[in-house]
Amino acid sequence: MREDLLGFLLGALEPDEERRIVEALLRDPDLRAELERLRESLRPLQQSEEVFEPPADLVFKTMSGIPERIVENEPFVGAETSVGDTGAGDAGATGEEKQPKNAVSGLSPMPVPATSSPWRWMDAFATVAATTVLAGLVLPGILRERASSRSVACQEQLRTAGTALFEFLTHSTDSRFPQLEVDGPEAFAGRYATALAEAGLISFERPLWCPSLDIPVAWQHRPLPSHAELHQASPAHLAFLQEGAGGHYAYSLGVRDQGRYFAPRFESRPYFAILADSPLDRFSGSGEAHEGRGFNILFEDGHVAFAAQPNAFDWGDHPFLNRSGEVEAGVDRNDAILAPSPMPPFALIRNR
Amino acid sequence: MSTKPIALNSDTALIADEELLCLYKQTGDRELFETLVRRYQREIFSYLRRYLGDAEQADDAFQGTFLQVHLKCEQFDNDRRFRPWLYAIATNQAIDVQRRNKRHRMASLDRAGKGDDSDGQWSEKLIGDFVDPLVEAASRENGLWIREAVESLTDSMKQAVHLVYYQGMKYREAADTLGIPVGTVKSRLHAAVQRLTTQWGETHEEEIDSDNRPANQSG
Repeated sequence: MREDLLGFLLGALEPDEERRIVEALLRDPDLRAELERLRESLRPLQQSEEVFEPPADLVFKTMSGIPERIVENEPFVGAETSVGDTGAGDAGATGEEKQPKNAVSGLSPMPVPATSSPWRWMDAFATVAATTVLAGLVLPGILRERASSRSVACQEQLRTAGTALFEFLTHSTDSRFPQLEVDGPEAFAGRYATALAEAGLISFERPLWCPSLDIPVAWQHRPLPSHAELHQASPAHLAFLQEGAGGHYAYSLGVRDQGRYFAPRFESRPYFAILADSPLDRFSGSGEAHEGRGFNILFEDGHVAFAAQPNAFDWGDHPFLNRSGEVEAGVDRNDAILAPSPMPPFALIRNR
Repeated sequence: MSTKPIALNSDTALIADEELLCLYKQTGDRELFETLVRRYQREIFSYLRRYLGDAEQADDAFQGTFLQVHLKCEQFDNDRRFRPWLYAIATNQAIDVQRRNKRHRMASLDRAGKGDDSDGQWSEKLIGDFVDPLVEAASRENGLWIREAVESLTDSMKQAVHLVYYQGMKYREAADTLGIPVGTVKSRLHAAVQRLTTQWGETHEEEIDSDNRPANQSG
């Protein structure tokens, strides 16, 4: 157990192990004391956490030493790697790649997790918050540094999506972000991504997956669903599409204004969050974006911030809850709320 | 050769490491390879710099690492993760560089100066305008102590500390990198932390005791 506690302090456990530790810590005060003792024992190591900057010419020197790679009459067929059944064995050892050229047809729908209930989602969210808080007590600075370098790639992805969103506004007659339906197949947060693709602003072939996380196998090489696919899908398949369409990100659930439901209207508010890392990595079963170290959040004025924890901002707005503490559309036009792809704008409305 | 000083372009920034390497194998496109080098330059250089305790050696090992990635990319198993594979290569490069350097050092023991203070990048030596010199000195001293203490661990313990503590790897990733069971990584790291804690306690409690003794007597 001490080894796992140490792993917990260092963020070295797998999500299921981490969850077990969190549950045990919440139950057992002796274990919490043990955690503290172990944390103290890491103190010496924290004396040497400097980060070393590479020399400015390192990439140049490295690339200068790399000879040209000779490719033997192998035409480029696209970014396809093996997925699903990986019975290819150790093909790499012989240097011969024998991968299916079109793996998409072999994909089977991902099992639909029973997470569509907002209550279960919130339970998981509470666990995530506990994990983040406990781990945040002790994470060495150097790990934060690494997390921040990973978050850079994710921020770039967010900016790409954000650029598409702002472009979307220029096509919108009333300067509103994509509109989610109140019910039915288009009543889910990830509808943002399909709306951007339909407007030609992002590629259907490139759903928004965070570069620092794994793409779920069932979604590798799978394009975004079209409007027709959403409307023609069986309930189970629709759930699968809604789960993955928004990738690893969280999107605005919209706002209520004078008793009516709207997509947020663009007002360039620096406090109004419109896009972020999802608070749950639903695909791995883990609860954390960036290994629980924080979230990239894109605001309406175009700036991206990395928030260490999904707490309320200084100005009192929680990015993943509305002001009533619910995962539902904002209670007024200034109440921003972001949710993962499958979440509907109103918790008790069916979106199948 | 592309030597653009800019970061990744928006297309390649979205491609996973494994996919980039696969595409590089298929196409030989140097930009794809450069994307991988840029993506990992900070992380792997920092790892090697800390492992080797020397900027110049880290530089050599970094270049050697990516040369090996290029040479061995056909052997990369697409079912594996790229990162542990890269770290395995980097670790081997570090061991090779260390071995070469030990031979070199034995041949030139009379070299002036102690390496650790003089071999850093100029940028590492930059300090802010308002650093308290006493705090800075204590911090440097403690940093030096722990570097030497980590260095004195067995190679297997040292690798576990570097990969899990400093590089922030999961136990499973470190096990993949080192080619050993996860349980072994856990026990090695735990043993290493215990040993460092004990050593730290002995050294620093003695210091505290010796600091306190005259003060108590005179008071």
